Amino acid sequence: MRFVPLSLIVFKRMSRDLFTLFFAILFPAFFVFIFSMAFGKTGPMRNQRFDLAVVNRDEGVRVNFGAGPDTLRLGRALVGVLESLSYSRSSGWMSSDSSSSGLAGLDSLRFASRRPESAVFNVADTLQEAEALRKVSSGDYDAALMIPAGFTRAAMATAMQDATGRIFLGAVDRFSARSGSPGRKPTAAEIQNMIDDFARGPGKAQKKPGTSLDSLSLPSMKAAPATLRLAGDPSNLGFTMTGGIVKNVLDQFLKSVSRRSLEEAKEFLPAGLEPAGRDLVSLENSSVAVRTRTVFDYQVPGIIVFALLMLVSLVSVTLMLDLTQGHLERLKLTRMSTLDYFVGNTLPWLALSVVQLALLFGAAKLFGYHNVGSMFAGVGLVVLGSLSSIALALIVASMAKNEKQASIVSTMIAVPVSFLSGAFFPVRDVVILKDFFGHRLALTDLSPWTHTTRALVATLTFGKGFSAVRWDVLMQAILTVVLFLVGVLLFSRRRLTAQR
Amino acid sequence: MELRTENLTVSAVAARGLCKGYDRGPLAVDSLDLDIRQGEVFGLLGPNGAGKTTTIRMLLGLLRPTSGHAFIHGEEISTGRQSVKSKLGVCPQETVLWPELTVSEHLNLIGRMYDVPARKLRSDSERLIEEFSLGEKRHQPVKRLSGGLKRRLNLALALVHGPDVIMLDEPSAGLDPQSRALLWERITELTKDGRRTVILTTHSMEEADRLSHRVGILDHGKLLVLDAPDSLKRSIGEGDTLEIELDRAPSPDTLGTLREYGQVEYDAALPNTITIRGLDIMDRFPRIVQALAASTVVISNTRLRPNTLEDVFLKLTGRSLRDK
Repeated sequence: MRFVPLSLIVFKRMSRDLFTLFFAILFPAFFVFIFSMAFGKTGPMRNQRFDLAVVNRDEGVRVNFGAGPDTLRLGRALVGVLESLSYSRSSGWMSSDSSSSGLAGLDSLRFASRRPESAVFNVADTLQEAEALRKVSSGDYDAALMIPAGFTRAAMATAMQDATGRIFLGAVDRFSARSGSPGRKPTAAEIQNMIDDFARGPGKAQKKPGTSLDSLSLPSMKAAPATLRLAGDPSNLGFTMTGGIVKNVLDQFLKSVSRRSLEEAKEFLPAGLEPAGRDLVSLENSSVAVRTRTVFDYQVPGIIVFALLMLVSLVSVTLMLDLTQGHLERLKLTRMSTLDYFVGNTLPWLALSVVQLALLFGAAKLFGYHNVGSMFAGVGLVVLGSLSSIALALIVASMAKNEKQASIVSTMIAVPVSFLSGAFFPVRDVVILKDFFGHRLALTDLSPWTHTTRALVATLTFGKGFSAVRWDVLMQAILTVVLFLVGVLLFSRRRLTAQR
Repeated sequence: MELRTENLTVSAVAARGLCKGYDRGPLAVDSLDLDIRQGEVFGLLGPNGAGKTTTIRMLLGLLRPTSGHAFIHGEEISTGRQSVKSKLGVCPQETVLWPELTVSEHLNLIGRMYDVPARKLRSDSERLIEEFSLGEKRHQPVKRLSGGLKRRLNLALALVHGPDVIMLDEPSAGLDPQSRALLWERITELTKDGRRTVILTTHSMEEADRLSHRVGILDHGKLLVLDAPDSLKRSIGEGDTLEIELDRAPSPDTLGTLREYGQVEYDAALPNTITIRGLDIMDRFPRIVQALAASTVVISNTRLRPNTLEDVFLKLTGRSLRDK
């Protein structure tokens, strides 16, 4: 029964170190939060937005819905639907913004409750295909959607195929009823007569006053199939997610088109028949073949950032050891200035992180990292990231009571921050400011390591130049300076001056 | 309170009304006035918790006094000026060393932190390595050194920049007799030229007695006495000390009888022991034995010795245990 007093002692020690206990208790809860940010549905404002390039070659079709000839462009309508898609839970089914219904309203199809601040996609639809693919390849866009020239024709043909099929079946039923022999199937000649009647237009139904079905100009049901192509990097989680969403939107869009068409022809239809036509429109995913990347390629910069964040623990524990073993006191007795101490401690860690980058980069290459940018492009970013970590370590070492506490607290801060900085997977942002010097400012943007991650992905994995990461470098530098000033101030006041 | 400025410039180290209190407890150091002369070895003694370390830390500028001032060669220590720091050398009680650095690297590091010119640092380091018999180990990482070698290096580091005032906090704790002899020799040599001042805190009364020109005894944060060791010894009584151990505690009548033969000390903390001080105490020994036999107590043991600093210390601070 010796475990009872032992357990009591352990419990007492835990309860007397409230600082560590606080973090120990919060840690799992914080992880739940992080994963909810990454994968959960925590609200309309907390969503990841995907960058979608659309190359719309749809030529549309000439139609006359009774108000004169017009060109129906369903490609444009589809782009509008994608733009209007939002994370709002209360989003309605696709409907027209305008009061128009039936085929005439197809052009203005949108999701009912559009919420621009929580839009799913940032849609760019002014690009040429080559440029769109290049931007997908460089990571600017998660995917590129190519809408073919015959999209409207194929989509309408699918819808009209349903409609005319229903009309034809209705004619068969009526033939059976008229023939006085219910259930008798028409002969081939009788069927041909019915087709001819239909092609000429029965002239029995008045769609609108003064308009008959045979006076309408509708797309031919003999249109060629149209295939939309969604191009992206299969290893990019954003592409995978974009693909799933676009597929669902397209299915819903085509159903909506079909439903509108059936509305037009419903007076010709027998009751209870559902559309079951052949789908002439399909979506296929294709890989951007500029360079084959793996998920690992996206993770290597994240691992570098994670390593930088692990510096927090190393540095804070070292500083605490200096304190608890009397080294700092011995140095305080000398002529050492505050600046001497900080520079003297910072430089070796910076050197270490650069060496760490080289080793990590080398190992990553060994294990198949496909970098476009040179490792040297990342050195400056790593130095800035290291400074941020050292600054955080100074803050931890200013507050901690001993090296054990410093180690625990550092880990509990550094690991979640690495996840929130997008080191391992993209996280959904909580937008703080919609326009911050021309950029959207999210909660995670307040972490300098978020900018390190982004800039490293851009420079190392995609080989972009300084201009592409200018904003992230600037933000990283500003946040690092702020963090460093806080760290230096706290550490100086609490550790480097005479004790009170 | 008005600051007394006399002797500030002639004293190597001075304290004026130095106080330190923590929270609502009693003062750890209570209105300490002190003048330590240039060229002397000053022993600062006191039981555990008396306020020695607090005093030393305030004199080093590591601890901010609640009130009062401390000076080194007339310059206030709390300013933290680099000129003040250069005048001080410290050998802390714990060996504060970097386990991975060698002996030479330690001397080089600390010397450079005091801005000692490179050439002077090289020659001074060599001299200290020889003086403290560290030559064979100069390139060894400190983690491979014995405890005695580490303590010698600890002391050498306090001297590498040639300070005027050297504070040694229990420098001989844990040393073997050979190392202790070497250490005492070095400390004695330090003040030979009359330029350097050594402040020594120790629990070894023998060490304080042998090395110190003057001794201050501190208890409950107050300076109880400050004088040369011989003067202090004389102050508790001339002659020798006779310690008698009995089989049981003596009665008040017995103690009264014994007072006829000398100065009797009796402390309830050691109930079976009587200490009698006086001149020609051996001549009186037979009569003391007779007096004890008459009171039916039995003598277990007797010791005759000269007065020591320890006697002074115990007389002033008592025999009750501290740090309770």
